[in-house]
Amino acid sequence: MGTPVDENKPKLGLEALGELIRLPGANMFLTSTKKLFSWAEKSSLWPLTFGLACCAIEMMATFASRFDLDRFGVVTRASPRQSDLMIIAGTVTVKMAERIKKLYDQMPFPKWVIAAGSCAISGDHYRHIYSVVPGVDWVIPVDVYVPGCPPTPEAFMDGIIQLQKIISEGNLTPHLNIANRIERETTKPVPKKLVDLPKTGNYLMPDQLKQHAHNLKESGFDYLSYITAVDYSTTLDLVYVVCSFEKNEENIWKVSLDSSNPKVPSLAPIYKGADWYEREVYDLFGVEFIGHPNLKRILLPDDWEGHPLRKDYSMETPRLPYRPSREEYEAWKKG
Amino acid sequence: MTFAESVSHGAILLGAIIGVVTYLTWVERKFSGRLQSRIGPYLVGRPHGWLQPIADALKLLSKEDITPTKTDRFLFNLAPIWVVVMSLLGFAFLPLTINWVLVNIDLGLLYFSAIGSLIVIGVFIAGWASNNKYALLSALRAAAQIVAYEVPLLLSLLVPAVLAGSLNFQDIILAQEKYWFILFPVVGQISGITFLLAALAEGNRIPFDLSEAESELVAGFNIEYSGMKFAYFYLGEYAHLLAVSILVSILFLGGPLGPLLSGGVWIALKTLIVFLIVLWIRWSFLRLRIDQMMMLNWKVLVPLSLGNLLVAGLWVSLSR
Amino acid sequence: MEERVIEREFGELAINMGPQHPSTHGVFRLELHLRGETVVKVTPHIGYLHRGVEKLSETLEYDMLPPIYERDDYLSPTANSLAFVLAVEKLAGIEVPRRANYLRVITAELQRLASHLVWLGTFGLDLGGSLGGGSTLFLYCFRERERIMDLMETLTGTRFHTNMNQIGGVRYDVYDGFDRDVFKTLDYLEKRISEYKEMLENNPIFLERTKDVGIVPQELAKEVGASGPVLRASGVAYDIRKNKPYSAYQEFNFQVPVGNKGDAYDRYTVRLKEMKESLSIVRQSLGGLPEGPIHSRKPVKTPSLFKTPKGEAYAAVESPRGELGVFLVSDGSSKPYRVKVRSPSFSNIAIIPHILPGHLVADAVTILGSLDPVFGDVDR
Repeated sequence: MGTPVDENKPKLGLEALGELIRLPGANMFLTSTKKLFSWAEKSSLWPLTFGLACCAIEMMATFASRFDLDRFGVVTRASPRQSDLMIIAGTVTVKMAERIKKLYDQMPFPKWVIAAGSCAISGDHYRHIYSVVPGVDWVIPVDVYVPGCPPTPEAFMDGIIQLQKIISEGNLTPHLNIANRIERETTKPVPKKLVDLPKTGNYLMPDQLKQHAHNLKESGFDYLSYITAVDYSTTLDLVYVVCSFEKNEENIWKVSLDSSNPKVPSLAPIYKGADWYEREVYDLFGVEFIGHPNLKRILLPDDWEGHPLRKDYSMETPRLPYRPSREEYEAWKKG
Repeated sequence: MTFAESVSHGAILLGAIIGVVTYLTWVERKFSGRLQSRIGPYLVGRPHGWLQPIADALKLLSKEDITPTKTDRFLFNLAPIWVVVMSLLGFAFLPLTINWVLVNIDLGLLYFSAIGSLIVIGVFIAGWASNNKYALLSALRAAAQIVAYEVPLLLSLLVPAVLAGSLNFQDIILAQEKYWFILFPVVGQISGITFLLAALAEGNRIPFDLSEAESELVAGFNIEYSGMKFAYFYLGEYAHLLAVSILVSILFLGGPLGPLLSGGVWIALKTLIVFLIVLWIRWSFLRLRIDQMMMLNWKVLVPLSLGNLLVAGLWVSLSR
Repeated sequence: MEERVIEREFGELAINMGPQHPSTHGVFRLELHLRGETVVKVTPHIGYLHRGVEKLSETLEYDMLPPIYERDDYLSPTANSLAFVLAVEKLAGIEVPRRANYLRVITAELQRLASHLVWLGTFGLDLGGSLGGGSTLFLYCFRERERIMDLMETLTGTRFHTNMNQIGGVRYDVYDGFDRDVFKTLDYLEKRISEYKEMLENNPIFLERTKDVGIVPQELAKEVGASGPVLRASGVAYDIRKNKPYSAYQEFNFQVPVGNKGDAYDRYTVRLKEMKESLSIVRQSLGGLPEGPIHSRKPVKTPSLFKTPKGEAYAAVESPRGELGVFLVSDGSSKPYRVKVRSPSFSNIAIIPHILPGHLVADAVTILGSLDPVFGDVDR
């Protein structure tokens, strides 16, 4: 992606002025101005209100009364244009990574990033999952890493104090220019294992489905609990569960489909909740529901290829953008 | 006063106001912290964070200044300047001790409310020129709300003028020598409370801050402003709030009048009390929705303040 | 790349309450089409926190899985792991000792209290703004929640992802003086909750903002599959702790609050009453804690030795959001064949496109807050 560019250098016009003047005391004036501005920047860090997952709750607890961060001068602002710190707290998914990059670009310089929690540092136990970016530093440059799952509020405070130390020492991480899009390559199929599982339950044919659902709904089973699917390598079985509150019982039925071309009529006209459940099954298994009003992916980005929960989907991580290696970075730093 | 005198007085007043307003943000953070059972700023400047506002101001100076593309550059840069200038201009007419006022005009009260109502133009320009749907929505809400709440503001503002018989601030102060206007039997209290509510709505404070509603509109009309321009909006809001607090203390609480201490100290004390009440309301109340806000205005405040003004007028004419 | 949000008709304004939004419910995107201030059409987009827990479960052994599930609904972690553990115990026919059941109930109810306190605090943020009166309520609720976190920390070592539930029992036993600490905290919380109830129910702004806002009719709630307080506020008295009791709930005496209109105020009332009931359940269970072991099956040193018989099982618990269930299919090996998490927030959010049109923008945030979604639970 070209030579790395350090865009976080302090941009005081006084430097250029100092070059011009070349007075003996100008240097002292400039260093003390730099020191003054570093002090101001570290004493008034304004983070963006941005939490992703469980670590966000601990971050909210850190801002709360017991571990008050307002003592350090830290007040959250809602608009990225008015904030200088971004605390990534939680797992970064591929769908979210593009938004994070956009938000980071919208923040004015000078800006800093704290990656809080193991998911933001390295993806934690999700790092091999298809839709997770293993660590937020594949997307934006990070200044301070705060470990923990979730980090305790004391650890959050320690992260802020470390960042303040970095700012006051002037030892800023150069924010190298990192690419914009996360590239994904298509996964290679994994051979399916044949399984021998007993198939229990009430199996129906696809064309009996709508009539059966209609009859059940008329007879009082008006609560659709869930629709899901199980991949038995040669067949794909759909499981439907409906409940009735008056009779306090539930009714489960299944439909067995050919796994190379699974098609089944949609129950969306009968039960309103079937809309989202069927979209999820389509997204993760590839089952096509005929007659669905809006059959689009719901949990993965719209242009994703493949259906992850099938048994022949491998768990490779997405190919990630270029990140300079340690040697390249050292060479660039030398000049 | 000669021209040179008034210019120098004006410059000192401007400097003093900006200093006071900066420290009002510190007062707010400390007060809100104590209300929420926590300490406010503490570590920036060891005892109780007294250097915090200076750190904020310097930091905002050092931020990169971003102007979004496809915006009207002139309007985008004009909006914060307009808001600050209009907020600071009102201080020229407010008497700060019994005898001292920068510009002594007979229609002081009218001028003050006229200038105060020009601030909304700056808010609207900011919302339009940001090229952002959130900002536009917030600017439209702000315009509707402020124009609507002008009516009870002016109606309740006129009650002290009617009771004192003049629109000049000095006369209003002198007319409160026996007892403060807020202690008037019914008329004084109703007009005081109505004025405070309408002034809160004018200043976009909770419970009327729908145009800056953070949980819906992500910082409202100043969503695209960074660095020093955002500081101008912040400064303008607090300056307007300070001016309104001084106005409340002059019109209803007797201003610089009081035993023992000098006028300036009394007015400072009363302004501080009014300011703390405004802060208290901000940090304890939830926000009204736009249609509820409008209903409150047109169905409750306007008839109330109109009736109040009539009663005040009747009382004055009958007691003559 | 998703398509841009553009207006399709003249006079309409299309805005995007994007994944980053100060109503800190998490990563959720609402595409609103407005006419003036009224919402005409709404399209929710989810999936910004899809971490593929169901696929991950197929690669890990049974004993490794309960902590993974705790990260799903991160406001009440033990509910998730309890559902999974109950499903495995049902499939493998493992009996759980009574003391372990009581401990499971205690932690579940304490976390229900903590979760409802977070809900109340963020509801205040939605109504009042993060720089204003709402944030005062938010900070008060988090202050009370810190007491519960302290209890969990002294008992288990961490504040909320406690890893308490294991297959066959629980992991930590109570220490001497645990009941004294808990009773002190419960008394304190009872006083505070009554205080907040009075503060909010006498506040005309709160009543105006929540009454008759976001009415969910009973039929819609049932068809979509909503559960928990959302369903109960619409008038259906269905609580898994009463209708299909699990792990010692049948021994306790508690009420299930039911609303009648299904607006945001009813959901608020139902949750507040649930908090009081949780206090009474914890008191009853701690008062009568039986003696005995805390697990009937020590987790084996090599997890790959624990195999379940072939078959399938479903177990559901009542999380603070509704019916959280785990549907488990096993092929006889030491790893699950298929795990499906039936998440309550997924179904609760599916109501939004049906009830939001016709309300103002300010109500969108109120309604979302009163449905109380947790996006780790929605996206899994």
